Amino acid sequence: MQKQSITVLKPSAGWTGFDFAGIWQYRDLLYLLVRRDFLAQYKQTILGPAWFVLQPLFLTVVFTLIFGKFAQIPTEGLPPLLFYNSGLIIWSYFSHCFTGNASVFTANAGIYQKVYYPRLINPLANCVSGLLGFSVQALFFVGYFCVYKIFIPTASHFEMTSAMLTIPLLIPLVASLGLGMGLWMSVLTAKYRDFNQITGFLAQALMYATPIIYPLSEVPEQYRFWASLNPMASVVESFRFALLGKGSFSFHLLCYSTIVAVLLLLSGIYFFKRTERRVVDYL
Amino acid sequence: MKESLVIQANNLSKKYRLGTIGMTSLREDLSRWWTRSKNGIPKHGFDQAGIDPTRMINDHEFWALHDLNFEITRGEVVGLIGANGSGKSTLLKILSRITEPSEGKVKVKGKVASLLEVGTGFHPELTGRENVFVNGAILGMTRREVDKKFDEIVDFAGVADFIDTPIKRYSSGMTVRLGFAVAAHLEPDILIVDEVLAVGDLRFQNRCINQMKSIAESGKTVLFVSHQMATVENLCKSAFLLNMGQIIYSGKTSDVIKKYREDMEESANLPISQRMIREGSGKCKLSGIEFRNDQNKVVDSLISGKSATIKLFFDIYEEITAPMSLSLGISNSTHVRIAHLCMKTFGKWILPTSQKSFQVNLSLSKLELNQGKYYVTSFLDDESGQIIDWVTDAFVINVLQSDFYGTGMVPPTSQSIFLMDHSFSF
Repeated sequence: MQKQSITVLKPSAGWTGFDFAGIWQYRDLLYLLVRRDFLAQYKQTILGPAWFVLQPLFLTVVFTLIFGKFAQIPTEGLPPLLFYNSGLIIWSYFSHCFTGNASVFTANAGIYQKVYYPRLINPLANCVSGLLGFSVQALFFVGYFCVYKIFIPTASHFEMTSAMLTIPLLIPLVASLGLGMGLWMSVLTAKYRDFNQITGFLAQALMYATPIIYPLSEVPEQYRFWASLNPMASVVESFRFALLGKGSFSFHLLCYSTIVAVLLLLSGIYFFKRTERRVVDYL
Repeated sequence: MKESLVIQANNLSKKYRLGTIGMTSLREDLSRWWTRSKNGIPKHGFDQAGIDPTRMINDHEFWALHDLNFEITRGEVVGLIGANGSGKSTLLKILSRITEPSEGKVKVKGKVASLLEVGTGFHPELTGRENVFVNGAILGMTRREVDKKFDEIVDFAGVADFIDTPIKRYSSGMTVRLGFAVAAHLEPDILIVDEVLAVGDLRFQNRCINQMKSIAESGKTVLFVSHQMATVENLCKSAFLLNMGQIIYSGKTSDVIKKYREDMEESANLPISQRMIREGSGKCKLSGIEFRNDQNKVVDSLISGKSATIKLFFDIYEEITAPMSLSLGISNSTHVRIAHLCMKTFGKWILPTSQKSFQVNLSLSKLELNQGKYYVTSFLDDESGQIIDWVTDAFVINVLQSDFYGTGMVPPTSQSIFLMDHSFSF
């Protein structure tokens, strides 16, 4: 008979670790949850997964009309569609990780009361499924980019830069920021339902505080420091700089964002794990 | 831990808080904090209804489990028996890692699968096939394991024709069968099962029990909770009896069940209002009963075949805002449920009242029970389904034999529970 591992169930306190082993053991569940989210979201819709691309595209068009045409907010000489779309796709990934995880405990209460598995699987699955959407949207961005380059040569004073190489680092940074904030929010919503109302509002407010509908360079000098305190600001600017060659790329600000992300993520996991141990007793 | 042991608990305790701390609104917590800081006295408006004073730790916490010590050896099939609120579910939740103990510890050897519900995580929009994989993974199987057993699972559930249909189109029976089928094909070292067998039709229930039996016979360790004594007796060689958060008896299943029945009988002799083992919000409680015979005289026992009235008295402790419904479950002396009388079926409701008490009269035009003792469980809930007062075996109806059919003879008492009007012809 094979040697069976012994699990000791006892009251735990303090930092209980990330439980890599447990999550690895349930990796298939993570995969299946991502798949389930994807499938369930587009079942019984006519356009199906096309919504992945259409949603940000509609928003881009609305932004182009309202902020570009009516409010005439400058886009650093970039075609408005590319300007808004680049900001929106990276933002929607952040927003997916943040708002999608804000109600993890309340949304899964029924399951958590009946079955054990590492609870962090749910937020992680959510981040992975967000990444899926982001990848498709990024691919379509490249498409829009090419269309502009080929058909509207007059507008082609933009190009991808070598900062593209940082994108593989920007993505985990965005995921960590979103996940960290999402975990914090999930802990709060588990305790107080009030925070459910705040999540949506907070996400929206943060979006306007982030240079998505305006470039950071348009922010008046005296406020720019404060605008840069938003850890997503430098990320969006760098992402846009990488793709379109306009915007700003500040190594220092990115370091700052990374520090914030790590702190948010670690503290988020700590409080998430703490809540996870007690939450079934009062959900 | 000895080689042969798979579960070993030492001084295992779990405390719970009364009321709904935690899932509150921020406003409530702030106002509580405000009154506390103003008056200097922590104020808890919790209802301690239904909890024995000996289980209270302080005015807002109680022991759901207290100081449990037990061992289970490999291959044992153990039944957990106890009244509502005795701590069975809490123990299962700790063993299946859903909640942590407050004190003490349990060592568990090997892979545990807990079946506290079937079909956990089923998504209505997904097909049966997709749900089998997700559900299997939630229960701890890998994709490969599910894949290997997929045909068996579908076959067991009998939903082969619908496996690629979204389960929102399934009948509730099919959904439950599929859920059980996945769970039945887990291969854990320890299986924990909570009364999920009470689902599906009789044929499927029998199949479930057989499946459980074959799991038990294959040398797996099984922990089984059920109110169906017959099932426990059928499946388990040994059992634990839980009472008020403690294991008060353990041993051979038949002995434990006997002890449990004796205890229940003893508790049924306590005045109803003093009964501690009850569930519900306690806004309103059953406080007494009265039997009246066909001459409207108060009596101790009722006579088979005669009309009778049972008056149930309730005391109101907190304002009742929603209409309430009473149901009574009648069980025979071996605790098999034989009848269920429910107000809802008649569209009748007890309306909110400003009085401190009220009574409900149950009229029986002809008592169709044979001689014997019958246990009545009283269940009061409101329109929204919130349980207000639930007392298992709240009182006993003592039925005396009589000339039921008017033939001058008494029907045999050992042959049946029910008597029904009938005639023979040639």
